[in-house]
Amino acid sequence: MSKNIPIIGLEIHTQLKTVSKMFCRCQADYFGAEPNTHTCPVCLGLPGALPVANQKAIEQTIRVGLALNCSIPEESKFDRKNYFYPDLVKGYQISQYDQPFCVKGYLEVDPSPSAELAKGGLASPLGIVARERHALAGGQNPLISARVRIGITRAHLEEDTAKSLHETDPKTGESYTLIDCNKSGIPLLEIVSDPDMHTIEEASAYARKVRQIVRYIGASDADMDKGQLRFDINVSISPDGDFSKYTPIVEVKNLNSFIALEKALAYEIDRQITQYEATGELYTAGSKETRGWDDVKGVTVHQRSKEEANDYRYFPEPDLPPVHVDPAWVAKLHSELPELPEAKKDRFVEQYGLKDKDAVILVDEQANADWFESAVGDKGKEFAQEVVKWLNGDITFVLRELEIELTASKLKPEYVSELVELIRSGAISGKIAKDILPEVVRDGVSPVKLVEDKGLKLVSDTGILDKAVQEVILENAAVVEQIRSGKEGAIMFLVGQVMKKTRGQANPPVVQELLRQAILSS
Amino acid sequence: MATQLTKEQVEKIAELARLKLTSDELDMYRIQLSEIMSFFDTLSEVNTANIPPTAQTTGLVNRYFADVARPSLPQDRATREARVKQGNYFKVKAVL
Amino acid sequence: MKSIVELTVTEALRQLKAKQISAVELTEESLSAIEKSNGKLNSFLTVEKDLALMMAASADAQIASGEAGPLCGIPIGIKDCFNVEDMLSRSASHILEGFHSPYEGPAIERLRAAGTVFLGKTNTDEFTCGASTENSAYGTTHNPWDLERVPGGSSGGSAVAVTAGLSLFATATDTGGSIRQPASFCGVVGLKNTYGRVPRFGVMPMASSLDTVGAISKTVEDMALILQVMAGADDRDSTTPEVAVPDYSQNLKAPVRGLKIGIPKEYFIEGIEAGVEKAVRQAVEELQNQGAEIVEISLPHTKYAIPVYYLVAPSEISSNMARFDGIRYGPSSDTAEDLLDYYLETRGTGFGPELKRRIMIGTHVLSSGYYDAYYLKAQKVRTLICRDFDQAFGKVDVIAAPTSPTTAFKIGEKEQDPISMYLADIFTAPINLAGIPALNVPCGFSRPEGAAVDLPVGIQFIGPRFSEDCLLQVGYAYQQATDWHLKRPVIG
Repeated sequence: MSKNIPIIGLEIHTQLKTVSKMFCRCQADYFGAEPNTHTCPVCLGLPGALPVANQKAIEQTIRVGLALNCSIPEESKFDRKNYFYPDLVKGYQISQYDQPFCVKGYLEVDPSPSAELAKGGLASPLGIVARERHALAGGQNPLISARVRIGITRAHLEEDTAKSLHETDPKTGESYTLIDCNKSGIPLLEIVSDPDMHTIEEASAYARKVRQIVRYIGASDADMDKGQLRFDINVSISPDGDFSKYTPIVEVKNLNSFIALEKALAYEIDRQITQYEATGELYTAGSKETRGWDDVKGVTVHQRSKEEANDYRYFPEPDLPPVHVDPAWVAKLHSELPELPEAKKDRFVEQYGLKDKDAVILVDEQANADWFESAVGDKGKEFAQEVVKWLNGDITFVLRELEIELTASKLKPEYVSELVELIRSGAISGKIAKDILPEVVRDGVSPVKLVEDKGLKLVSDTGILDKAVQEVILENAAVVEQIRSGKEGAIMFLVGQVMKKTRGQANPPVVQELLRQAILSS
Repeated sequence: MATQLTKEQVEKIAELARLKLTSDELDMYRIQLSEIMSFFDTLSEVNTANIPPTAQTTGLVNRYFADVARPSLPQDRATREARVKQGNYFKVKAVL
Repeated sequence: MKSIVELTVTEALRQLKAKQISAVELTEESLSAIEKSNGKLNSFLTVEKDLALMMAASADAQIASGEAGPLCGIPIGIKDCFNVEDMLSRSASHILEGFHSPYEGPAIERLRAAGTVFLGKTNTDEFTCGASTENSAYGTTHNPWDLERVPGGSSGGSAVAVTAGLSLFATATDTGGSIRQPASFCGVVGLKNTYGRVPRFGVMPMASSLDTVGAISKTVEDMALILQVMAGADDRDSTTPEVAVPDYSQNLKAPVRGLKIGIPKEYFIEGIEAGVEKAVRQAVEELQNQGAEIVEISLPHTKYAIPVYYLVAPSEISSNMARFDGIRYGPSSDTAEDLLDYYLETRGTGFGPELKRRIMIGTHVLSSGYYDAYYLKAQKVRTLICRDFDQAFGKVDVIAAPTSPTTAFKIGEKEQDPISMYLADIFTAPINLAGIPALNVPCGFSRPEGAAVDLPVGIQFIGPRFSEDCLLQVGYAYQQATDWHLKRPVIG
């Protein structure tokens, strides 16, 4: 029986991509704006203001639910969640309690070791037994490569709070909080997983996949630098693998990057195992603790314990009529969902003959996948595989140097297409292609045009090449002798010499053939 | 139904509602709230089996607005009524 | 020429149109009346003299150029729970001390566009929680019929403004009886609309599923004009159905012959003031003489309305009051040591006792472990109360009943006993729970034991949702045959 298995649940909050806010018509794109410039009586919580629901936000919520394999119940409504905090302008948040828009979904994820984790030398608790319950594919190392299904309890729609900045007056040492209501009322989708994750890799993979999906379907930009995606984790440890017995659940709120997510999980798992070994304390009803993540110190810090648990006094929001979700509308939304990453990856493998790992990288960002398909067009599998080689190889290298993303660069899909075509047709050599690539990427120049302008076309005219071939044979008598005596591989050296003489513009296979004929026939 | 509220219960309610009460007020409200809660006992004589709750009387469903922005309040108007500000931020002078 | 005290909106409009009087003169008369009597009455909390005269001058210009709105030049009082842009709006609470609203809602927008002149804000129970206006943080309002008595509440200030002739009408709200009961105590007309008939956006809420926005006037004829301006859906309030607004004035004169009027036996119980019952029954007789058919009906769940109301309303109140934390508006604690203390002090100081009581009831009722037994149970009984009315309206067109079991009680009489104050809503609250309309019209006088003078009695006509036009017809027919609505108090 394995020991100390983490039980992890994840709550993901993502700001939906809408023009206006959730319950008022202030502009939703507030990032970088002056404080309190995107506010109105509703999102300021002025007395007498009333909410009106944003239809697009509801639509996006349902679309995300569908992409996460959720059921969409026909009856839904909003409820008030009552508590006091300076960033909660009404003293209640309009959210959903017992009739959320989406329920009972799932995601299949492929956990893999996080590069960041490895870099930071953070050990993943790998001394953990495989997941008999959920493993869908038998892998050599079930801890890392086994695909797992993570259940999704629900996804519901609510409004975001205002932004609070905690500061200290340098002169008086007095602490205070500044409130900016631009964020107040932004539509927020909360996706709650079942406590189905048992390793950091699983949690990280799940979080990444959710982010990928909401971006794919255009429901959210999920830009974490702008605070559009946040995580709350719920962690406990099952000491002996019996999932009915576990340590008190700890919630760590407001993790705003994948690194913070992974580090907080690692720290918390370790801390709880240590605590259990010291105290033997197990979960009893209501024993839930809230902790915050201190990124500077790399620790979680106690914030609230069960005695101080909030009584949210949920009741149906009287100012908003209930929502009857038309199944026909849901079916239409479902049919109009774009191809999701999983399906796209499978299609790439099948349609373009790509390796699984290459396809995974390509579909990670929808824009890149589209870019790739645009470059390939209908030119078939081999062409596609050439394009991938270029993308994964030299193009990535150049983009890194320029510190720019593929879709933000001046490199157009048709340029890669042209490049591959030029090589295939023998117009230029691979080497010449490599040489011109940086300019193509940096300046956004068509390779065809570049080759034309610079006269880089490979020379295949044997008449022209004969001279160089003859010169090389004369200058390298010893090598010629070696070739004649059977060491045929040495011909590549002579090919290289011809290439040098022709400044790389001789067509290598043609050169090789000319040399061979010249050497072996005389 | 418990119809006599204890002092602790009233203290908890007052804190949940963020209302500071003096000790006299605490006593007064304990008595009054207990009376009022007893007053509700008569509802238990009503048979509400299979009766759905009425949360709204309009019978409306599916009221939304199309996702279009309208002008916000100007910044000075939005912050005008706050007593304690720093620049254009609302300010709470309290240790968290 | 009638004095401002006797002038109705209808007559004033006629005189304005005929250039017998100007809007400025009308406003000046109102301001003068306020100056004379408000000290005794405390009907107006704030008087916006300069603004009013400016609006009046503007109204005169509009009348002259032929661009006058339907209520152009009419001076009005506005209940303090209405946000009026840049005007001090406190809902008679300390927690909004100094609050000048940055915005206003459709009810006020429409009255402004109609050309009314804003005289100032009228007194109310704090956040409209009360049935006497004694819960105002700025002193109670006195009933002009007997200064030692309450005007009713929560729209006491507005009712007094109208009956004492300080304004030609006044805006008001009714959540459990707050328009009808003060209207009946003061001998004026008060209409509680169908929930959702007039948008609530811009009106500081008490109980969100019960609040209605309306007005108090001298006559039913006036009320038709006022409702015409205020009614209609608005996309800033999700609870306003898209129901067409009929021409209330045009349909006013329909006779009541053949109309079926239900008399609910539960509203004529033992304990009603004798004079109230007498006056109400006489009013019913009058309608019968006009050809209405009187039908005995039963509304069996009436007696549960008060417990239901006082569970549902405080729950919503407790939540609606949570936004008052002094951070974005209103006074706040300077001396608090930590955040919890900050909230406790700011709110503890800012709210009055009745409001605190209701917040605490609501907080308790909604808290975990109590929700099902109290809040949910109350909402189920509410369904039964609604069904009582539905069934009744299957048999009758309109229901007639006393608005209040008593006439105006003495100031301070119910202070010690919250429950007795809650019972004042016994005949009005069921209507709010069902979301249906009801119209109070004065129907006589009663002198209860210990009273020095005769006090006004009101009868309410109750109808199904969006039947305001029918109620106004009945009220109008009644007022054609009686003159109770013409009686005015002599302020002592």
